[in-house]
Amino acid sequence: MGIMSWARGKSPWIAVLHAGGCNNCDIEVLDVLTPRFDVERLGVLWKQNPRHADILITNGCVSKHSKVFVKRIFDQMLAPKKVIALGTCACTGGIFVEGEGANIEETHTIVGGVDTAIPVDVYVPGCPPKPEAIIQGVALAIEKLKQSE
Amino acid sequence: MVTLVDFLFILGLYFAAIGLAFFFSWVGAWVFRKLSARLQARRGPPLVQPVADIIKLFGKERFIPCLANKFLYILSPLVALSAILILSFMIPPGIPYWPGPLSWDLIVVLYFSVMFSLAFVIAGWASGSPWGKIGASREVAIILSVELPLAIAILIPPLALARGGYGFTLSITDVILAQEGNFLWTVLPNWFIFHYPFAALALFLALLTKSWMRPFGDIPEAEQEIFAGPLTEYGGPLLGIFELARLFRFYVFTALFVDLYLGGGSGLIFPISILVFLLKCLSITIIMTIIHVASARYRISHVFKWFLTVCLAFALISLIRIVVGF
Repeated sequence: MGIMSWARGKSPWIAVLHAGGCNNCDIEVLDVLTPRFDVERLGVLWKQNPRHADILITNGCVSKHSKVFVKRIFDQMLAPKKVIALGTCACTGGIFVEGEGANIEETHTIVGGVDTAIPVDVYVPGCPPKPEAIIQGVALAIEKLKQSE
Repeated sequence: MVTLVDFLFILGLYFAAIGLAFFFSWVGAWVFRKLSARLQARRGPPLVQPVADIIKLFGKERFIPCLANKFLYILSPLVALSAILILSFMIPPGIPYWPGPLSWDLIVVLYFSVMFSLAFVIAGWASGSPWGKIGASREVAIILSVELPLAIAILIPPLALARGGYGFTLSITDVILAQEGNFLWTVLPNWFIFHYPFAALALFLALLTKSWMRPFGDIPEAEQEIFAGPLTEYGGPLLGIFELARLFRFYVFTALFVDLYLGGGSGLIFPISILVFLLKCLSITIIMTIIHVASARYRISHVFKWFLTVCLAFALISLIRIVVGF
């Protein structure tokens, strides 16, 4: 718990990546910026730029087309970086993949959750998750950022 | 003959000036973000936020894009930071400034305020990103349109002093000293904003734009269009240096306006004068923030139109008044 850990906890900058799906979580993420929830009091800044961001919020299932871009955007971020999978589609693939539980199979277009492309640190299920759940997910990611090297 | 003691004293003074500038720009940046949040009915970040952002950026991974010109990519944040640091101790904090009135303060201020903007242009071009290049070209357009009204408005107070028989000087300290007392049957303080309101307005708009605030200023970093503009490919410690440089502008540009047009410390005794000066700077920051929050972003062609017609006309009205002697 040095000064760097404190600073990382105080200033997580966030980029949002829409990998595929119905866009509902994408709109729900914007709710946490409104006056009712206001995440800027936690130091969160909305940086739609992976180079500046510490936390990547991905929503939507990963399709075969978007997998390479999800990977590329993850690689564009600078360490330490954390990934939040937001929504059921991002966690598992949701209704867009076949099978359930551990037996998820990819369909002819959809690969599955975000963790098929990049390592995920926090899963926030829901369709869409409530803003409180999103804020809790961000808070968990901040805890992980604090512990990172 | 400069002895070692003199040298150390000057060095200490410069560090004190930079410390004051840093402390005040920290408060100014926080007021900017907190007030923006409050005006949008949000809660806003805590006081430590600007510093936490910078410390965090220094702890991130170091990175140079493969398409970047490595030398210029690393040089441009250092140019921006050194330019703004030189500005922050060349602009006196509202008091007659030791080591004495230099007779060329304003030339240095003009030069390094352009250097500060040019550093962002270099950054955008050197980073090898198309967003950076678009941002850099917008920054160049802003420099081209803003600098002429800015230069005229900065040179109005010394020209007025020369006209009024003070002798020709380009020192900010002399401008501050000349603004003591009252005029107009002692109703108004003897500030240049009351003598030359149009030039003050031109300088205010130019400084608003140079400090990257709306309606004109954030065109280069318009995040809805071009991500972060010149800084798109920057990350980690180099972005931290840029953010530090951009923190100082909350002090530097407001202090320049207060010194030239709002009378600096207004001839009060030493500790009170600095407090009065900082309060004036803070009120300018608050006015700038309110304008920033309340207005939408203009197109880049509107910047040309506004600054090379309206603002230039404002500045020239004052210049013509000085030349004619009215």
